[in-house]
Order: sequence, then C-alpha cells, then structure tokens
Amino acid sequence: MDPTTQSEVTRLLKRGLNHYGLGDLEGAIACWEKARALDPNNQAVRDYLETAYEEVDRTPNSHPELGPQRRGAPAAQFDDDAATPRSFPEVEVELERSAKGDEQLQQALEAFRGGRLLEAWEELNRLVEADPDRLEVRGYLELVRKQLMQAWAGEIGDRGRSLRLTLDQKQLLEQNLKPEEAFLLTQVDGQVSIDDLISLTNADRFSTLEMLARFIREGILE
Amino acid sequence: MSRVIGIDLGTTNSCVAVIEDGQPVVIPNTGGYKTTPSFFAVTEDGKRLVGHLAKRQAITNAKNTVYAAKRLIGRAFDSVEVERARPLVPFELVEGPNNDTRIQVAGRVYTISEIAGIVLREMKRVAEEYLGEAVHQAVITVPAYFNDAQRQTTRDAGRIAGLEVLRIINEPTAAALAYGFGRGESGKIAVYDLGGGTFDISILEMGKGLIEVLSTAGDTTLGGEDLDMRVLEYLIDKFEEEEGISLREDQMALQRLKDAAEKAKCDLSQTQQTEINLPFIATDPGGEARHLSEVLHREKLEELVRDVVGRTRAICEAAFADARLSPADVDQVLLVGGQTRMPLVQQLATEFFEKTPQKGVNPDEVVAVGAAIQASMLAEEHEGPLLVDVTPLSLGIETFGGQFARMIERNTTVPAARQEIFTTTRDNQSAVKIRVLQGESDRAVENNLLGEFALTGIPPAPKGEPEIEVTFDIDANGIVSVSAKDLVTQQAQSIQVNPRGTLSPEEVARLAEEYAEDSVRVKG
Repeated sequence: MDPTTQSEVTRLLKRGLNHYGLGDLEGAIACWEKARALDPNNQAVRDYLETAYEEVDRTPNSHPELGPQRRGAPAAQFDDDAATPRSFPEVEVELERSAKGDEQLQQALEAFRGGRLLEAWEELNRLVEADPDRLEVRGYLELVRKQLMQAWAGEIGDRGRSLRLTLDQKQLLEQNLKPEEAFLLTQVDGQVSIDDLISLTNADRFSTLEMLARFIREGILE
Repeated sequence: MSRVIGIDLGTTNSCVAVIEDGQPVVIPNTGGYKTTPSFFAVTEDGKRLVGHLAKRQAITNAKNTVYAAKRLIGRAFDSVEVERARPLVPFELVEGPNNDTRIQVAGRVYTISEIAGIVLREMKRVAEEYLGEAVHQAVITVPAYFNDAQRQTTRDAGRIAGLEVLRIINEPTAAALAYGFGRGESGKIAVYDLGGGTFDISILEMGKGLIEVLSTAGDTTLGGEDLDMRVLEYLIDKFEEEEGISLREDQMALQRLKDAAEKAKCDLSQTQQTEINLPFIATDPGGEARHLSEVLHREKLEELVRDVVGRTRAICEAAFADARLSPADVDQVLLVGGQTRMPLVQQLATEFFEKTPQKGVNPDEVVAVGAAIQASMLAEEHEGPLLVDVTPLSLGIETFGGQFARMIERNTTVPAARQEIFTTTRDNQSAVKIRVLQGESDRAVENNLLGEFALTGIPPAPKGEPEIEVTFDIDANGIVSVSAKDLVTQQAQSIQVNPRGTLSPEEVARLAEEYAEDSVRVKG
C-alpha cells in the first residue's frame, strides 16, 4: 500500500475511534467503511466494523439506518466529516511492531473473541501501558471497554431502582475495599436510584458500572 | 382556588409549608425530609441536581455545585460582599450586565435569581406533589436586612419558579407569626436565628395587632457550616496524626468527612458522645486500607466551636444598641434555625437574654410556618396580625455637592411615604437629575445607587425659586417608588426602582418558561 493510502487509512481508523468513543456508532461505521474500502484486508478495521455492527444489531431502534443490510455499504453514504471528534486522544500509528507485542495482542484478541472480556481488557491495558501509541491496541481497548460497560449495565438492570447495602458495619470492615468503593457504598441509602448513584460519584462511568455490577454480583448490594 | 404556600428560602436549606384545616403543615420532600438543601449542581454527565442529591456531591463536584447563593442576591460584582464570598465558594463568580453578579456552572452562566428560582421551583414541586394540585402563589421570606434590590431579586426568582409572589416578608416576622404572636398581645420579642450559613438577630415589637421590626443585625458568613468545618478540620488533623496520611486533597474523603462531621454535630445536640466511623477512607503507601474511627464528645465539640458561637453575642449587642434597648427589655426570645438546637447555643442565648428561649416550634421549620400563616391570611383575606416591617437602610437622593439627603430613615416602618421640596442650584436650570440612593453615608457616592431619572421642562427662574416635590413611597413588600413633580407646571416623572441584578420582565418570563419545561432532577 502506498504511504498516502496508508496514512488515510490510519486517519480514518483514528477518526472512527473518536466517534466510537463518544458513542456515535454511525460516525464510527462511516469512517471504518471508508477505511475498509481503501484497505479491505486490514484486520483491525474488519474487527472494529464487526463489533460496531453487532452493537447496532443489539440496539436496532437506535440506528435503524445501520442495520445488517447496510454492511459493506458504500462509505460515501456516510459523512464522517460532519461529526466533530471531541475527546479521544490523537495517537500516531506505529508502523514497526515488536513480535512480542503481536503475540500479546493475539492473546488479547483471542480472549476478546472468546467473550473473556476482563482478560482481554487486562491484556490490552498491559500492551497500552508498554506502548501508549499503538493505535490498533487502543482501538481494541475501546471496543472491549464499551462491551464491558454494556455487560455490567446488563447485570445492574433497571437503573431507576434503589439499592440497599446488605452488610453491617462489622461485615463491611471484613471486605477489602478501596476508598472509591467505600465512597460509592456510603452513597447507597435505599432511596437514591442507581442512575443518581452514578451521577453522585462523579467518577468515570466505566469504574462506577464495574463496581456496582460487582457489588450486586457479590450480594453486597441488592 | 389553588392553595398559597409559604416558602423559607434559606441560605443552606429551604422549607415549604401550607395551612391545612387551619393547621400549618410543613411539607416533606421525596426523601421524607422537611427541609431541602438550597443546592444546585450540574454533574459530570450533564445532569442537573437540586437539593439533597446536589449537596451529597458538593465536594466531589465542587466547581459545578452552587450553594449559599442567597448571600449573593442583589449584590454588585464589585461589592465588598462578593469580594468576601469569592474565596469561600469553589464555583466561579462572573460579572454580568450592569455589574451584577452571576455564577458559571458547567459552562453556562446563571443569574442569581435563576439559581434561587431553581430552588424555589423545587419547593413548589415538593408542595404540588404533596397537595396533588398545581400551586401558583406563594409568600416568600427574606432576612430583615435585605434591601430593595435583594427583595426585587427574590421576587424575580419566584416568578422564574412559576410563582406569583403575593408578599415578601421578613424571616423574624414570620417566626413571630408561627409562634402565634401578633394577635393582640403586646411586648418585645428577640428572634435569634442561627442557620446553616447566616446569623441574624432581630428585635420585634408587638402591639394592637401589629408586628414591627425595631432593629436587625447579622453576619452573612456565620452559621452551622462553620461548625461543621471545625469538626472536619479536627477529624483531618486526628487522622493525620494517627495514620500519617493527609486527607486534605482527597475529594471523596472530604465529602465523607463533611457529611460525617455534620451528622456528628447534630447527634451531639441529643447525646453526650457519638462515634464517627469512616471505613476505607484511605490507603497507606503500602496499599493497605485505613479506617477513620473516632468518638466525639459534646464537650470536645463545644471546645472546637465556642468562639464561633460566641461571635453571635457581639452582633446581638449591636442590635440592642441600635434599638436603644437592653436584653432585659425583651419579653420573649425565639430560636430559629437548625443550629439553635445545639445546647451550647441555647446556653449562650439564655445567658445573654437572661431568660429561657421559646422552643415550641421546630427551629428549622418555624419561618416557613410563619410564611404559610401569612399566605393563608392573604389567600382567604383573614383578619390577622398586620405585618409592619422596617427599611433596613436609609433612602434618599443625591443633592448639590454630592451630599446624601435622607428622605426615609433606616428602620422606618413600611409601608411608608415621605415628601420633601427641593429646588434648583443654578439660574434658569431647566432639568434636575434625581439619583435614588440607599445607605447610611452622608456622601452620596458611598451609598448604593438604586436608580435615577430626570425631571425636565422646568420653566426659567432664578436658582432656589422652582419647587420640586420629591416623593418616596415604599409598599408593604419594601419596593420603592420615587416621583418628582414641578409644582409650577405640575409636570412629573417617576421611577419604580429597578435595582441592580434584577432582570427585565421579558428575561424573567423567558427563564420561567425555560424552567417550566426543564427536566431538572428533583430528589429529596
């Protein structure tokens, strides 16, 4: 592939991730479809698109125009430039990779495809920590992050209901909690809804959902 | 006809009450609490919170949580009060048009009346939920020292909340009404009001069905919050001493500590000691969890806050000096504000007034109850005590040489009207500028300019000859109207003072519409 095309694919990948990170599936798919048109064999693009379309399938009403029948639709039908990327960090693509990194990435992807999301999350985080500039790793990390959040949200269920702490003070002290976990638990009063709890923490949504799902799973909250 | 509610719009907490079957009912919010924090916040995810929820994240989301906005009502951006408030609040104060003070929250600039309107709308919603019907009218209370601008701003806030404000009444007057005073008995009452964020002392006189405010004094930066901060500081120091870990920069820890400090302080009004347990408050450098566990005794609490509570004494002395009375002249003492539940406060009040204060009505609710009583009287046109309030500051106009000519003296009972004749200072002067001022300085420039207008068309005459009659009129709500009339031509000009910070009727209407449709999150 010539350097200009390679650069355009990279740009589209990044732009798509920006949209994806903001929950804009339409924008993300538009970018990645354009990238696929330029580089049909790019595995990362194919994985991103597959995940994004799966998400569309799960929430068909939210993006009816992006149903499965649209897969492979001409990229020109979506205007990715109309949307403004806001928060996903700009990263430079790495052209040379170490063999070790690839091996780890394969392991992470295996876990991801096998539905072992937490394992994939940890593996990908290690990779990003070792080399923060690896675009495709950050992309996969974003995909896993969103899928984990969806899974936890599913576990939590109705966010309009209130939660109750099942442990007394003594039992609570037997837990090995982090300060942010203890903070979240102190906000639970049997009245405030889960939705409001998430707002009250003012922490990032990812960790809050993770904590809530875990506490419900472990029976600490009900 | 829909019911008229009484609202105590407080600095830290607000309360709403209504009269049902002749009895005052303080209305609980969704969470079952009878007072609602006067807090407003916008969370990280853009959600708007009011009341308890907003308060519960006030430290972790400090920049976008507004509280104690009442201290800023009607204050100019460059005023001493705003200067004083700025370092005390974590949210951003910005200058609005006409030098008024505004607050920036999550990228949007709010007027003070908007913030107060959001809190009032929440109180309206609480009442509507309880009554099962729409509420359109209210009586709202304000501190006795509130000037015209502050009363106007409160009225605007009511309109923004979708309420017609039938009457603005003074908080101490409302407290006296709640205690059933003003029905024929005569005597003097001292109202000692120590709330969450402010302290006020007012001396009232009752007689022949009248309640008159004789004098009032206060400190807008003294309240229960200061006591909480003392406990918080104590807990932080103790923890640092014992564990070697500072919690001062840890927002989550501070939020938990603040909540615990307030709760412990309240508990100690009932018990001699209380336990504060905050498990997993921090981790040590080795990653081990650290817990805060402390037993706080009432004695220790009193030692921590004695000087803060003691500051109210000097303010009481000033109020009595102003009324040319001594504490012994007072027949009854009413305690208002949640902080007066503290035994130390009650002890101080008993010592100062040399008599046991009345404690029959819940101090958190007494002002709202009084407002509801007044609301009911207005709604049903009942015969009741006539409320007589006073002007907190003198009113007058600027005269030659930058002098301040007082027309209505401070502590004059309202409604009131005064007329005086003025004249020109130059030969053939065809116009005069009437600058309406409020304050106590003899120099016009040192007082607050409430508004100005010109009277033109004065026929040519030597200086000192034309007669210009200036009339000041203050209605029962404390709203000032000023007119000037040339007695030769009978030509007149007038102004209803539109003080700094008050929005135009169009702006108020727009905001009222916006908030009526707004999905502000409301929770107890």
